[in-house]
Amino acid sequence: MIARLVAKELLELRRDGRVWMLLAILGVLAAGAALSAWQQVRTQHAAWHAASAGEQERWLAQDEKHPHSAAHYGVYAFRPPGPLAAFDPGLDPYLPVTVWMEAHRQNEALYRPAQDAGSAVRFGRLTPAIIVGALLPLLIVLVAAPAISGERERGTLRQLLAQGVAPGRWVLGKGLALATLLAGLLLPLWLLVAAVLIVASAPLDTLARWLAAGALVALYLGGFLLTCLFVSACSRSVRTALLVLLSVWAVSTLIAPRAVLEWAQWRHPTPSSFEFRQALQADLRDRSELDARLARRAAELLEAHGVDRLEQLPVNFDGFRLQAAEEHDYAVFDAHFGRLHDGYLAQERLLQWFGVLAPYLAFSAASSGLSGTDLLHYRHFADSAEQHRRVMQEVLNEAIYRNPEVDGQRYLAGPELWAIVPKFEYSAPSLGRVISGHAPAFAVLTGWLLLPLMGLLRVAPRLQP
Amino acid sequence: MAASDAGGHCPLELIGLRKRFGPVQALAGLDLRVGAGECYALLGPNGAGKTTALNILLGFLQPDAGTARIAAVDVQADPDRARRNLAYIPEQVQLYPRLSGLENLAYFHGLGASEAMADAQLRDCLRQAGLTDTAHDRRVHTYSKGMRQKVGIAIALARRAPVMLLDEPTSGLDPEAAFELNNSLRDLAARGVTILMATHDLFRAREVASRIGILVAGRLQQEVDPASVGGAELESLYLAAVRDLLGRAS
Repeated sequence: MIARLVAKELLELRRDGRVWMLLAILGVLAAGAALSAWQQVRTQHAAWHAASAGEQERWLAQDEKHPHSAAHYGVYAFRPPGPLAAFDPGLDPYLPVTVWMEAHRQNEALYRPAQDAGSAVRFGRLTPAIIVGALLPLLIVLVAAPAISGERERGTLRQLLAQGVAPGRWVLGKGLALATLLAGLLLPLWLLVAAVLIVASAPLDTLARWLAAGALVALYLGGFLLTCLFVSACSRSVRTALLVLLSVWAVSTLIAPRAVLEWAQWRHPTPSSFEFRQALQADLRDRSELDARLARRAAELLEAHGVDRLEQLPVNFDGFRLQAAEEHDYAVFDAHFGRLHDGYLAQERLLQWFGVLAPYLAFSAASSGLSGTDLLHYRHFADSAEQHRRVMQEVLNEAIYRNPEVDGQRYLAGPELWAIVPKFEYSAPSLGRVISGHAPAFAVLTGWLLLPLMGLLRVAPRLQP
Repeated sequence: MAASDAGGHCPLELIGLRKRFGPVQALAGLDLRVGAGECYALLGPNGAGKTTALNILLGFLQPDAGTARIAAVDVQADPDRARRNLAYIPEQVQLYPRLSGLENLAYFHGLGASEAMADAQLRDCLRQAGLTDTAHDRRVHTYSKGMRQKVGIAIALARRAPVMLLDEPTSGLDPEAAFELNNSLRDLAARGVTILMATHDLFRAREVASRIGILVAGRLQQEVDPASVGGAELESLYLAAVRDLLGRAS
């Protein structure tokens, strides 16, 4: 019975010109979005490869100089595009891509790709994730809203029930037919991308993320489909079902994201760039503890080596001084940057939980997470760059410490020291960490799937004409 | 007297059926038994309770009191099993406009029946209902109301159910199709099918029914043997019953 029902539903959809028109519009939009995203990510990847390689060459090719001059000479860390940035660029265009790693300071990252977008930025970008998250649900609403309410309105439901058709199985067949239509649209595209990733020898993590993205889309669209069927089963007319479902869609994709974001920013305020710098500098200026530590260490060294002046030590005290100053500042940087990023993440978490009211919020949070284009990934990159900066400073300060001035001549380091400083290599956080970081979004979407399912299980067997 | 089975049950039974919609008493203790091979025509003015009775038999409405049974199955207790024993033709047959007549029949039959029917058998049902061969594969949105009605009749015929319910079955049919439908109903009754037909059409009812009940204000006012009355006499009886009750009510 279910196979017959599915076949009939698909036959009707195939003969419905409006469905073809919607699919054609969606197809053109999807193709355009995919091509544009692919092109953008390819450009970003090429720029990242060229910049990263050039930066290491620049570091290795520098002249002989004092290690502290090299520390100020600095290195740029470049953030690679997210593993699935072509699917969901998320915050990528709006987040900085480079960090200058130098002595004394944890710099804020620089240069946002959106700077290159010019006026186009005001219109936003149509991405594959927006098509899946915002436009496909609209297609589902238009096709699924009349699925049951239309049959009730037309009177065919009455005839079917009079035929002894079990209403629960009939609703199941309706759902399967619509799910088959969606799967027929999306599965080939998903498999095509998976094949491209395999052929291009993409890392296993990227493949796992693509698999998880497929599951996320199935969860989200499955929830939307079940919601549509539930509302359709409860509505006396197609008009009512459409009105309710279009309202749900509009709130979820158009109204809630902006409103909840405003609320999240109000609930978890973050300082402006100027305020942040002011507060950071104020804390960095307090060096009384550092001075005391330096004085203690100097006295210990003078006593241990039995000399009166720091210049007489067999080590260069400047190396210790510089490293101690770095370590003193680490705590200040960690506290300020930690608070700033925690504020952003608290806003992000709130957005995920508000997916209870607007599932698009939860979908877009999880989707950008899996694509590696969200705040969690950005913070991971910024933290990795800072860790690298600290390793770099330690290596250079250690070299200063081991090489005291000889006859008033400062130590000059060469390529052998530059080569000891490790190259900055960044890899995105693991899929497990991404999923646990987006647990609220996944929980909310699971709820969005289960709630209408339970509603349908209750309503479908008692379906009335 | 309706023919009953060994357990004393008729294939179609309404016992003390009562149903009220707010201030309106739609059924006021309707008792009706229709035996195997009987064709019962339920006549009555609009609002008499005919459709309410059919809806209760179809399991779409719960009565306030009384029992409805189809093939000895209590409709309220097990509507799905009761429906498996009946075929139904509504006043306005609704079909899927993007499917052909044959595809509609195959779909409705396929969902409701335990056994599938071959294409040829389905076409036979359409022919039996009066739909010409050239129309079988045409999409239903090109059909007239009468043609859609014929597909509805074919759906009911294909069910081969022991009980058939018809709600104004000849509405929208041309005289020839109505004549064919009457022949089909007579044929079905001869094969032992129990038929309950709610109608306004006194003359068609007289032609096909073995018993006629006049329903007014939710109660069976009179039963008539159509073999013993002429058309004009049936009309007089009907009008008298309706006017008598409505006169008393006013």
